[in-house]
Amino acid sequence: MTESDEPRIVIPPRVTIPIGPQHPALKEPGMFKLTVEGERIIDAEVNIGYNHRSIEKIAEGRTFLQVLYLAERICGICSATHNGTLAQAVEAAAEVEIPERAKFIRTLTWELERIHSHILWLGVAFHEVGFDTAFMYSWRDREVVMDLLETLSGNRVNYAMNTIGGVRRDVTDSLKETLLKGLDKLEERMKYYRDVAIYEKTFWNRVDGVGVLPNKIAKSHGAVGPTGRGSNVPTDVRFNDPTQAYVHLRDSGEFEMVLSDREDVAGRAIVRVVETIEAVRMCRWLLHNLPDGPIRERVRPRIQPNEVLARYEAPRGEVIHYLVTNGSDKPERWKVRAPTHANWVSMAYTLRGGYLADAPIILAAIDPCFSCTDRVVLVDAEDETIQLKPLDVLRAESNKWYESRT
Amino acid sequence: MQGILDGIVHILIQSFGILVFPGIFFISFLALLWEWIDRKFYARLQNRMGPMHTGWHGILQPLMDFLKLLGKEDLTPEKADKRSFAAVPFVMLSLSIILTMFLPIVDMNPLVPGIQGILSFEGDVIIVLFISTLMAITIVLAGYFSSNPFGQTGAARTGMLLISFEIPLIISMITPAMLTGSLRVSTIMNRLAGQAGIASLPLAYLWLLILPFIIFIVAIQAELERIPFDVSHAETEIVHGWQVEYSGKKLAMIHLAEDIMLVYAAGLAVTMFLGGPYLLEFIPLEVFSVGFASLMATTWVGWIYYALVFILKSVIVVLILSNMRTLFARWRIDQIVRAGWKFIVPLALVNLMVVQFALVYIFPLLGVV
Repeated sequence: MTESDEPRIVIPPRVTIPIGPQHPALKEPGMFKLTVEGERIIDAEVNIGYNHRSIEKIAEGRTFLQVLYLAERICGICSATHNGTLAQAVEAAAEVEIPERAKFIRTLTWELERIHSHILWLGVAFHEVGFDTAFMYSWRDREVVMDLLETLSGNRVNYAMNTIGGVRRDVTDSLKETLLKGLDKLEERMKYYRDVAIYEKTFWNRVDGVGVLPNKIAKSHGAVGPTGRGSNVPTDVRFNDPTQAYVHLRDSGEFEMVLSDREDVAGRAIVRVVETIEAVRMCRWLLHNLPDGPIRERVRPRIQPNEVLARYEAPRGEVIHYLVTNGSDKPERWKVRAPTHANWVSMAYTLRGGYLADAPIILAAIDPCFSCTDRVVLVDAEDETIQLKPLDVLRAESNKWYESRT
Repeated sequence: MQGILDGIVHILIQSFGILVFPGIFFISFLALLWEWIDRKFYARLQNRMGPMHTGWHGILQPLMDFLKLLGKEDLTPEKADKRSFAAVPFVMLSLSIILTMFLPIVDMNPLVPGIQGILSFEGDVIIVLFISTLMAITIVLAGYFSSNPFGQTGAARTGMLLISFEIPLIISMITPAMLTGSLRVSTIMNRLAGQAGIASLPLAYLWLLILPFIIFIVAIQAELERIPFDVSHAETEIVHGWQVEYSGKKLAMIHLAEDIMLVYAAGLAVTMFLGGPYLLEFIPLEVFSVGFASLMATTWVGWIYYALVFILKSVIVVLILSNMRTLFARWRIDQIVRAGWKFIVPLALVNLMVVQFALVYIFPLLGVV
């Protein structure tokens, strides 16, 4: 069969399969080294850092208003998250209270974004298990909420709704009607997808009992968002530590935190789908109870020295913006902890012991967002030392490297 | 002199049959057409448009994809077994073409009653099944020769798929053979259809073909590695599995071979279960019962008529297969093996027993022979 003297094709009992940096299951670059024995995953290693953009460093040279637009480019899917959370942080640092109506509209944008993000995730999950039909259908219906977001903010992806001291665009009565009509359609479709996800056997078999993350591990590894809530960890900033209009939403008593005690991918899927229906109801409540008044407050450009921590429950989990101001119109230090960063820790645990075929859906189940997360860390391939490098050193080194090439 | 001339004409007609119609060219044409129908129908069911730009509603898209791949760079991995690696696409393509040669599309041998395929002899069902198993084995080899972890995983999965769904496929094809008492594809088809002077079977026998047909469709879907059985080249898991290292001409050939396998699968379902290229003959009118068959068998009208009926019936099978592809998510390999051995294989065996029991005891008792 083989022409060579020594057989070159050897199947070792353990094969290391790289998922990434480029892999169809991953929409962004990231690397997962899986050691498999047959179809079983023995060991998993998470290796990220292919998508570093040094946004935090760039922000230190810009004014707060400019950083606001930079912040929403951290992530395309949760752009309103970073945009709104930073606005929230700056307002807290400036110690100004924004008008009620602005709070409601900001929350409305956030919740609409949650709907679009969760439908997107659902489509990706369907695609990862090879159920392309449901993927196409769910993304078609995602267009409804994309259109709503476009009529609300003028943009499909980077909404730029928030400004420091309020929001930029108002919700008119005719827009309210359009939004309510769209929300009705979304609720109907989401109920349908909930039934598809639960009652479609081939999909359910692929997520049932897969990627188990026990409650204890989820707590100790600090899982956030639907990943944590799918393992019955009551972590939801919207209810634990509400800001903006979430205070009113919580006080209305109509909404509850969505939890699942399944602890597997199915649990995470159910949490997301039910949460989407909850988000539709929240949007409707916000529109019905929209208070009158101005939509923005003027905030002086220079912010007094202050140190604030803004939290918000992004679609993927808790996002934290840590901001230090120094009295100028530029941030002294701005640090973003995106939810995916917190969820990486439990990733390797959930992958271990599963099937290779389940790796994509387990990876997708935390709804990873690499570009939000990446920090630059240099790992030496030979002795595996890890080294953090500041930007100027990196720049000097890269210049040197390019010079040596020519 | 006359004898030599006749011989030359005969050889010319035979080579026309093998090369053009209903041979390689016609089969390749059907293969690309089936791919378009499959893609278009799959897309429409998913609320997409599917191919639109090349030709009428994108009908030339599969051909364009094929030609484009032919012009692409052809890479061979350094660690691959080069000669075997290069041989696999050729072997796959030729095996799949040989398989389609057994399908009775138009009458290639007027001396034998009934429609005959290009290749037809007593016991060819065994050869057909053997070659289709060989196809699966070439897939395993393709995966291993590429010496890529994804390829090897894909190859291992193909092997698992092979041992679970090859058996129900064979058993489901035994039923028509049992009913007709023949192991020749064309005889089975002609007897089931009851055409061309061959003694037909009682209608009651045809009820026994429903369950094997369902098993056949499921098993052939696994044989073709389509959703929900596409584990061996699941792109989100192992990046096209055994195909991952193939590019350029080799990939074009593999794709063509896969399309031809779809022609073969649909054609086999038509031949073994749906009465082959007969349609109007089933209408109980005098026009179609007297002289129609002989007219069709002797003139070129018959070639077109049989080919069109074959295409029509095959399209129905292709649409069933595409619909199945739309409805399900991909199964995991362990779920497939479990489903295969827990449900499909026992079902096939029970079906076999029921058929034998009916043939030996029930039908004679009812007076149906």
